[in-house]
Amino acid sequence: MSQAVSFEVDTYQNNKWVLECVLDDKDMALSTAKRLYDSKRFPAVRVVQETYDEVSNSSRERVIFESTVADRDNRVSQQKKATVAKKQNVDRSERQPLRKRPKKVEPTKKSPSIWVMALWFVAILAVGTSALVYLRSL
Amino acid sequence: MAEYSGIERRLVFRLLDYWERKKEGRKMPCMDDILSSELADDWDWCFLISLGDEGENAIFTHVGSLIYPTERGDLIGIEVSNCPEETLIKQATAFVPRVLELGVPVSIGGECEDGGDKLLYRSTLMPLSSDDVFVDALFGGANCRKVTNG
Repeated sequence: MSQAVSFEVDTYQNNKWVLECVLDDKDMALSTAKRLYDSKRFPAVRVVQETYDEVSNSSRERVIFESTVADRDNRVSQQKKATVAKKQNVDRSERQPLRKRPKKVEPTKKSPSIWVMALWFVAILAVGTSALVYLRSL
Repeated sequence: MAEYSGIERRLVFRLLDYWERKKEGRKMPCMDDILSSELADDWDWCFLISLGDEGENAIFTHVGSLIYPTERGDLIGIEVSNCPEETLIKQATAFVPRVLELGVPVSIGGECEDGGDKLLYRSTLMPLSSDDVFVDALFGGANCRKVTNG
């Protein structure tokens, strides 16, 4: 195949795209574009892949990367969002553990004490004995 | 397509960054802005070319000892078109016309022969101007590694 591929790195300046450099390596072109963009000197950068066909003496251009201020703002806001979420997670872990609601203590029914029971037993025994003595005396 | 290790790329990135820093609001720096003291070890991989009024008579004014060893001869004052064949410096200067046409840095890599060795190289060539209008010099650099068989 007689095709030559090159990658142009463009920056957006004064409402037009300006060619910054030309590379034959896609990764290097993308890296260069990102470095230029991260310098915050340009509102947008892009990488254009140019494929030149020697046979037809024609070239095709295709934008393979473009980043704008909006992208950067989105990225920043996403980072902020992630930071806030992380912070919230930290806060959650630092919160005091929830206090358990105190159980309502139901008033317990007082069972008769053993002394009362013994007294009743003695009383019944006495009544029974008295009844037997009375019946015998008849 | 050839795969490059980081070392070849890093030099090109450093030189592109240096050229970019030296612009200082201009379209491109001038030859006097390129200082060997600021480039440290990279200077030995770099070269400078001065151009005539219409981009002709491209002559080497500096050739680093690692891009073209001094024992092979001195290229200072030699025309770029008379550069020895099958050398890294020949490859690194092969796209002078493209840089003059575009007026921006161009970086090219690939395979080449140098002193009988097969090399993977990456080079960059950047325009310089004393009046910020016409390109009257070029600043370039390249480095490489030997292609090992198997």
